Amino acid sequence: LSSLHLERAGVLVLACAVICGTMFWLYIRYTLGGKAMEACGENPFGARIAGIDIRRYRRIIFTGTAVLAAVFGIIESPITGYTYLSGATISLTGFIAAAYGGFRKPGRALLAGLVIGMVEALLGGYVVAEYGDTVLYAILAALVLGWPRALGFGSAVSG
Amino acid sequence: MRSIRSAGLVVVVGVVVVLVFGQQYVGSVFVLALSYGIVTAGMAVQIGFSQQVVFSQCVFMAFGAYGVAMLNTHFSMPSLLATPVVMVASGLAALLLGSIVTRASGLALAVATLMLPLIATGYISSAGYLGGSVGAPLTGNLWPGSDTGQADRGRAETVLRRHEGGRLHQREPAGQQPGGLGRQAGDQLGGDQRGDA
Repeated sequence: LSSLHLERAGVLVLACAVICGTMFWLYIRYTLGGKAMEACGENPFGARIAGIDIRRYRRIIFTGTAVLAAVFGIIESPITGYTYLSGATISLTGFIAAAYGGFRKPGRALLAGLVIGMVEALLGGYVVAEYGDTVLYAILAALVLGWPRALGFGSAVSG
Repeated sequence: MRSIRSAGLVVVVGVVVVLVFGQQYVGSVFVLALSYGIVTAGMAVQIGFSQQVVFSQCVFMAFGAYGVAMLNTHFSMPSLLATPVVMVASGLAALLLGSIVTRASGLALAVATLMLPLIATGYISSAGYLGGSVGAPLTGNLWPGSDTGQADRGRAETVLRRHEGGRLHQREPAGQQPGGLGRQAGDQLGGDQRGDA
């Protein structure tokens, strides 16, 4: 075991991911608030008729996801450093990854985000150093155009 | 259920990668991608469960990262203490911001929250006390007694090099490349690194 040198930062990120994922799953699966939140996502109009305060749950989700982002900003900063540009592209590529997850499947979104992040870094590092981002965005654009329904954009497809 | 399987797959792969490639470039990229992936999952929850397209997650990532860095460097607060403080502060900030922006919906909300990262980027890049375009100093390790400072410093140089215009040439290990602006900036950040957490 002495040769097994653990990357503590990696363990920390993994542990936080597991804890956050488990807490979210338990909340959605076993609490009334979680069911109401799911109903807001499935059918906001129906949820409102059923007496669910949609605006309240939207605030809760906004706050919860913001705290989650802050936690991983805290964890990430000692690992890689954080500059004013560090999170700039996550809005764009994260949206594509969220779309791949069908917008209501965070596990799939996590997998998609992980794959996109790995591909972006490895393209920049090993394949085309200068055009890593460009190639990645071209691949994502081709995927969205080629398989819009598979990427959760089905309702936006006309014809 | 498929979503749980996907998350489980990520965890299993993550454990293997962290154990086997933890000290290598692939391992560090995986950890970085995983942390961004979690934020992306949060974005999926936001869009899917509230039917609102929001782009402000990266602002709160910056809030967390810079918040701990500022408390650590300017107020000498240990990272482990600064972390819950910044978590609570980010929750309050999100509650305040959320009560304003979630009144809008659809395109108005998307455009409004799309402005937030641009505002944050412009402010942070100009604010001297936040480190400007170079970024705030590293805040040490969250783990007590961690010995990964050198690896962290190497990765910081890697990130800085990307932001300074030079792309990665990762066939060489991070932190062992010839000098240059990235190395200087990395030294500047690494020199401020503290082991108080």
